[in-house]
Amino acid sequence: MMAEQKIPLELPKEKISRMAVGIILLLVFVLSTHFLDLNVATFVSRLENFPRIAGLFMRLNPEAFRPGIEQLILSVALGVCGLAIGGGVSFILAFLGADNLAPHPLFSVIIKGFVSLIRAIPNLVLILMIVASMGMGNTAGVLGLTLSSIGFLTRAFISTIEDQDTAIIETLQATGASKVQIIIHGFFPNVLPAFLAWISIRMESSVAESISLGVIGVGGIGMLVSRSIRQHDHPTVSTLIVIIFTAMFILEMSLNRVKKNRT
Amino acid sequence: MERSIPLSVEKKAKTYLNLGLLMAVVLFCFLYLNVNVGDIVTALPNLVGFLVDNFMPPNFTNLGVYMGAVMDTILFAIVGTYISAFLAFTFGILMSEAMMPNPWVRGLVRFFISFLRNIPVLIWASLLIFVFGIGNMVGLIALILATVGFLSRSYAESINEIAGSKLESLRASGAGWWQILFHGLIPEFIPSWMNWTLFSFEINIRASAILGTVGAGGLGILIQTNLNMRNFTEAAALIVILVAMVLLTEAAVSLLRKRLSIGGH
Repeated sequence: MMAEQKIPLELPKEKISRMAVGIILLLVFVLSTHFLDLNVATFVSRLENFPRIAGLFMRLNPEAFRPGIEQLILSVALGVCGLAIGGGVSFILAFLGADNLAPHPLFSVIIKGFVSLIRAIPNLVLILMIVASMGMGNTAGVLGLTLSSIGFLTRAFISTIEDQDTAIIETLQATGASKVQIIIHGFFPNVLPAFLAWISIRMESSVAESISLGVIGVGGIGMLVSRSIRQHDHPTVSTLIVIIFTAMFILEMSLNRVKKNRT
Repeated sequence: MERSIPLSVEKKAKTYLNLGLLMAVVLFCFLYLNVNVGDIVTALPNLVGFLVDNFMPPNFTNLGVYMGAVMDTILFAIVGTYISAFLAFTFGILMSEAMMPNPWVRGLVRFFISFLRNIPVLIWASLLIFVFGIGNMVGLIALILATVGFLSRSYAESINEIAGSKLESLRASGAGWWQILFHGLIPEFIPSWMNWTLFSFEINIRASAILGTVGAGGLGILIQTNLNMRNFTEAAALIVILVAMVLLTEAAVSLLRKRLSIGGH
């Protein structure tokens, strides 16, 4: 007669270490939640109003479509302008700042340092600083979006350039090509698809950021949202949300094909 | 006779057409906004001058008060990341072809996640404040909404990649859905799960500063108030702290990645 024997799926030692990790992770969560001192009680009491308020949002305001779409175009235009200038600047910075192309190692260090500083400041804080200096307006908005585009694109472009095979440089150097020729004929054709992919990825966030800037008063559809919220105009808010979602969805879908080229 | 041989001849006309179209769109945007590139270029030195004159030197006298806000920002990011990781894993499974055979459920969840992701965080935050009033619960929920939208899609992509090869054999050996989940999917999924989750923690540290600008707590609200009251040197101190936090988080996360050897994304 054969004894029935169970083969465990994991070793006891693995099981213990897995449980230890699990307990630590759980402990971190419980402690963090405890110290955060969330005002759950107030929140739950307000949750009772939720069905009523949600009901108010269940209508659209047909009259809000036209101004909504006009302001959406403004938001998209802000995003495009910031991206266009930022893209151009990043293109130059990336070729000066990539390890394998920098005219001097110092260029690389300075450009990378500058870019990680910009990246570390959240876009919205950057905009608030700009607004404090030059007031609200399209120029302030474009400048803010330009800076955050530079932060994202320069780093992305540099990583693409640095991934290129150095054999290209050596081969072209051997044929007597100048630095500019090396960049134009050796690098452009290889990096361009990846650059376009990065630009498309940034395009989405540039428009999203531009809409967010509206909320703090720079202009565009975000401003209409915060205005209608202040006026308790629920159907208009819903209409604007539908416009924003549709636009962002179309943007995402139409850029998907280009985004695949990122390496 | 010298004749130059073009280095590339493919589809020149089409490329020029696309390029022309793109230029036209960009030009239209500049004209529509009435912004010119010259203004932007001249604004930059003015901005730097303004910042140097008004923001320097940063005033750290209230450091004790700021530390509370720093703590809050970190705690928000931790709790937000935990809850979003849990929710996003559930949504990721419901969105993946391998684990969710029903196309209607998949489509519905995909639409919901796309809706979360495509509405900017600040719009979510303003809506939540409108419905529930100001408070740290609202900040936390806004953080979670934004992160879940992004994480679910990333998780679903990773799950599909794993499912393509590994899960078939388990299914063939007669394993049930829960067995496939716990013994097939989850162990394979852990590296990419950690990778994306750490990435979203970084984003959450940054985002809690954004949420503050609509009154949802953390460092952001102090930055916003001080800028509004034109206490620029204090605002500068807060911004320095925030930048240091973001850079430290990035460094810590990349160190952790190396230790766990899970690579970048």
